[in-house]
Amino acid sequence: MRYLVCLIMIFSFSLAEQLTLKISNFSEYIDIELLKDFVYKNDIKLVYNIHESNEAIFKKIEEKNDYDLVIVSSNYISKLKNMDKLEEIDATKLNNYQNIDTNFLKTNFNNSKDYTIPYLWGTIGLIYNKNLVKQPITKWSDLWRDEFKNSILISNEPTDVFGITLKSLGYSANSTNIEEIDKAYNKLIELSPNIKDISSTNIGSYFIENNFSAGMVFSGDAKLIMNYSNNFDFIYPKEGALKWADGMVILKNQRNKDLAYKFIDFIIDEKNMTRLANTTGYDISNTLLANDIAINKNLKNSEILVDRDISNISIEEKFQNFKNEYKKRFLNEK
Amino acid sequence: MKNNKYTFIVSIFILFGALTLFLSISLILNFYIRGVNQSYKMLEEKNIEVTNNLSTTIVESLGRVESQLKVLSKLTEDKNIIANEDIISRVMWEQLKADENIASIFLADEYGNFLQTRREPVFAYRSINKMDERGLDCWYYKDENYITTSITMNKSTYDPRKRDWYKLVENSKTYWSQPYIFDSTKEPGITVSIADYDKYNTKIKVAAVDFTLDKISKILEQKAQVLNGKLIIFNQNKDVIATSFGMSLKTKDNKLIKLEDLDSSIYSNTMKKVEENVFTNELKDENGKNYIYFVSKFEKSSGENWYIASYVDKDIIVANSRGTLINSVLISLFIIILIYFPIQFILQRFVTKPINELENLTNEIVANRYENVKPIKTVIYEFNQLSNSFVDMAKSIQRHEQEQINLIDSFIKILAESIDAKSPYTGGHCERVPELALLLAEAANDSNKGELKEFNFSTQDEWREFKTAAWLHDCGKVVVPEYIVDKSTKLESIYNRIHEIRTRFEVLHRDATIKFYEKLFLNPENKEQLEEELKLNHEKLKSDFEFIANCNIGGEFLDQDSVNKLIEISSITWMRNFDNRLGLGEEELRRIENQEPFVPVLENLLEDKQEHIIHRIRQINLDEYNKFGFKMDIPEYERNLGEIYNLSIKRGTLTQEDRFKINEHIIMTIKMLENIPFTKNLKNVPEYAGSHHETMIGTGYPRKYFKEDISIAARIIAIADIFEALTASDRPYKKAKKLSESIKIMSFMKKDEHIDAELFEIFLTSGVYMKYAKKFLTEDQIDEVDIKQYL
Repeated sequence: MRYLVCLIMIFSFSLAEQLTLKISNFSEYIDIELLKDFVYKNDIKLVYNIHESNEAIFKKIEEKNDYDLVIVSSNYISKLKNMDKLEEIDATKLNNYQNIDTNFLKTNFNNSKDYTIPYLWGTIGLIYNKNLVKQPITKWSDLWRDEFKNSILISNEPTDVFGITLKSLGYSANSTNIEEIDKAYNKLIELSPNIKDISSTNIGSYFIENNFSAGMVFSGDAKLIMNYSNNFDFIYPKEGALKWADGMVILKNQRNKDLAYKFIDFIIDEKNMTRLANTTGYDISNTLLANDIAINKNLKNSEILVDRDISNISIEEKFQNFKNEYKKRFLNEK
Repeated sequence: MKNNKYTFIVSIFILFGALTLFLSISLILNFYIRGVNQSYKMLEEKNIEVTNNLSTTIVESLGRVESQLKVLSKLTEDKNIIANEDIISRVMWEQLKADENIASIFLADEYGNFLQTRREPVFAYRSINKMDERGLDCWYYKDENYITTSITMNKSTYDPRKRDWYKLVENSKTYWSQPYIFDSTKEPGITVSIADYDKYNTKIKVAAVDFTLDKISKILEQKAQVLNGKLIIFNQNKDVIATSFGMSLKTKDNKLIKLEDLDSSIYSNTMKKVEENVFTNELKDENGKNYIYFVSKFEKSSGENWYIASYVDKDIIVANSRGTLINSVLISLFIIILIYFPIQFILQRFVTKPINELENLTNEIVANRYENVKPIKTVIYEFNQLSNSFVDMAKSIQRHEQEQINLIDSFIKILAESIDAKSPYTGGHCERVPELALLLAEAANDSNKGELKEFNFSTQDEWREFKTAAWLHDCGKVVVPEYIVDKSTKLESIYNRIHEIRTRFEVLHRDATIKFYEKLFLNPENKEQLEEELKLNHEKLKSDFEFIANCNIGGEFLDQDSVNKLIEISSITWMRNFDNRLGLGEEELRRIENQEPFVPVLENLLEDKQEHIIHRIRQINLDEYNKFGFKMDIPEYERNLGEIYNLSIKRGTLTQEDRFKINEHIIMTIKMLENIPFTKNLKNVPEYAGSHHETMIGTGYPRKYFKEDISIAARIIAIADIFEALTASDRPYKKAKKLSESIKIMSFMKKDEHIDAELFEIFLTSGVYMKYAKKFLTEDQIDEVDIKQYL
């Protein structure tokens, strides 16, 4: 017995000596075998946390950062950069830096291009169950149709949800016009009766298992769903789809900076990048692989979401208000 | 009531209360003792039930664990568990979810592969894949929906095959570890494992669970509430496996606690008892508290012995019964208080009230108000009888009292009458004075003038007292010799000695005649001269005797010339030829000074001789005299019968000694009356009767009282005494005075303040004097009185 305890203590001591890399990412957004390879290769301990949304990981970092590396969307990268949370990327530390499309970097991470390395990018479109829809869906505003009462899925990302609502009203998804945003809020409240759930976790299986009629989904999820069954169709609505790009960032003042560079370098290795894109169903920055299921479809009017600075805060608040309203309603109906 | 006496109600109530209390306390005590015994018995039964129940629960719980492990170990035939990781992990999840007592469930194979699901602190799935060259130890942490929220991975250093639960488990047997602290959760628990052997009796894989002891503690907590005590489970090594009192099962340095580490010595002592095979008894903790403990051996299919011990505070058992005891006592007290009021009412109504009324009856009897003694109203026979006998008693006392009064009154009357009868000179004085006094008292009673406002005889007793005093006012006269009271001449003493003196004159007369003849015989020639001389002598003797006789009467004031003449006459001598001691009584003989016989002897006509002085036979007791406040001058002798001394009395017939003797009657009156043990209602009699010779200005006797010292009743008797004496017609020694004359004399006395002026005025204005006069005075005494001049 005592022998056992001693043994455990020795082990835990040696574990403490081991380097630990702490990473945050979104769900179904990695190939676990890649992680295993990285851990094995570097003989480290990996702590890999999964967050539902940009907002969730952002709040954690805002409070207390104990991550070495996080993967977040471009608009949140700007935010973190503005808050001086990010380490400027030293390209010389990355052997595979040439695999990055710098053009993509410039266009999609406009003001934070020196602080991030692109991870994956994709789109947000509309998926629907052909069996549960009377008339084909072609635009965002079709979600407001009466027939979808309590049957649609909405993402838990405030900017995404406001983005498609603004689009449905014919405004820019990145609008900073308060009036337009207010209108979008009111329009969103009108959508409440049709919403079955607001979620961003494991959307692929969640959408299939819970019989949603329609929903806004990431292209990767859409790919997963369509692979499962022919009953589903994914479209880019006429008003225009949303486009997003996620990047890896190294947080400031962390001990394991070198390990973080190693991880980035590991991810942007050509082979690994391809594997990542294939497993997740999203695209990588360079054009080696065109993975997006709708890459050939019409992406006219589509917009990349950007950081809207101050107006963003009001969107977080409004989204929270909207969710509260929805929940109240939801509980009442129950 | 005073003097530590308690009222009837209090006594009865204390009696009944004490009886009831004693009864209820003995009953309650009996119930209490039985209750405590019953509680012990019930506790023992409950104890057996709870411990049996517990061991069954735990055995069942562990039995379930064993069957779960069997399922897991036989789930796949494959030697490599990783090949079926998917299905195995699902089964493990379900098993973990199904049993709250399982902290963790895991499976390992001979390759060193290891799969585990874990409950605390968050759900987690662990996989160590030794088939993979990377050999990573991966943890997948789950949220409440089993969605992965975090993954950690690192190179595995863990080899399940080296663990006891893997190594020590044998074919078809269940391995039980000793309790220890889990390294994953740092919680104490035990590991149970079952192995899967192939047909060649080679170990293929082992399934195991970590069974958290906290869960057993929770079961104990529930059961302890049922038992209202404490429960612990421990093993032979004195490791504490579970407690019901929320005690952490590990020490600060993450070791399992032992029985000795628990907060009371009773636990470690239990083990000693178990070693002595005493499975139920009492144990005392270090604070002296008694616990009843009960230990049962916990049956397991293998491994060491476990014991379940329960402890119940003996005080709690007793406290329950004691609570009932206190309740019962309070209820009985309440009932006693409740019945107090009706009992009090009933007693008040039927007992106390009649008793109080009876008491009032006796009070009435004590106060001599017999007419108020009437039967009381009561329903109780005895009280009724008592009240009737009270009434009878009151009547007989009243009768007796009346008889006493009559007896005393008759004695008083007899006494008064005997005084009156003793001497004709007082006549009907003692009979008439009361009548007059009563008349005057009635008049005074009606008057509201001045001092008389306060004079008020309201009760019969007061009247009787007054009347008695009036009757007895002269009772002292019984002892005064009537020859003094009635002394009518100066020389009187039993008889009037003027006769003796007249005889001496006769002797002198004859002596003169004899002398004449002697002289004639010698000188016949002087016959004529001698005849003349004789005649002169005889005439002188005659006139001298007349003078003496007149002095004896005492009707007039005797002036100094008369006294001188008296002394001159007394010096006339005569020859006594006979022995004056012959024929005397012993007493008289003793008084004669000269014992020598010398006859014939020449004696003065009148003499104050030694033998005339009568000394007091009994000396006056001066202490007593002063005590009574008598202030009269006491003469030296009892009597002085000296002839010259008596005849030279200036006024009246009485000597100083006689006057004292007469006045002594009032002293005797007072002394006699004071010595009579009068009842309370007659206590003023001596004062009323003894002050009728006092004056308002301190010149009276015997106490020389002043007006304020004398009661009005006594003043009334004084007036009555004087008026009767003045108007009495039955005194042989004096003529009765007329009404007007008497009143006039009295008015002088009023003026001299010898009598009370206000009473005298009432005496006149009320017409009492006339009422009396008409009844007792002769017609010719009653004349016209102008009372106005005296007012």
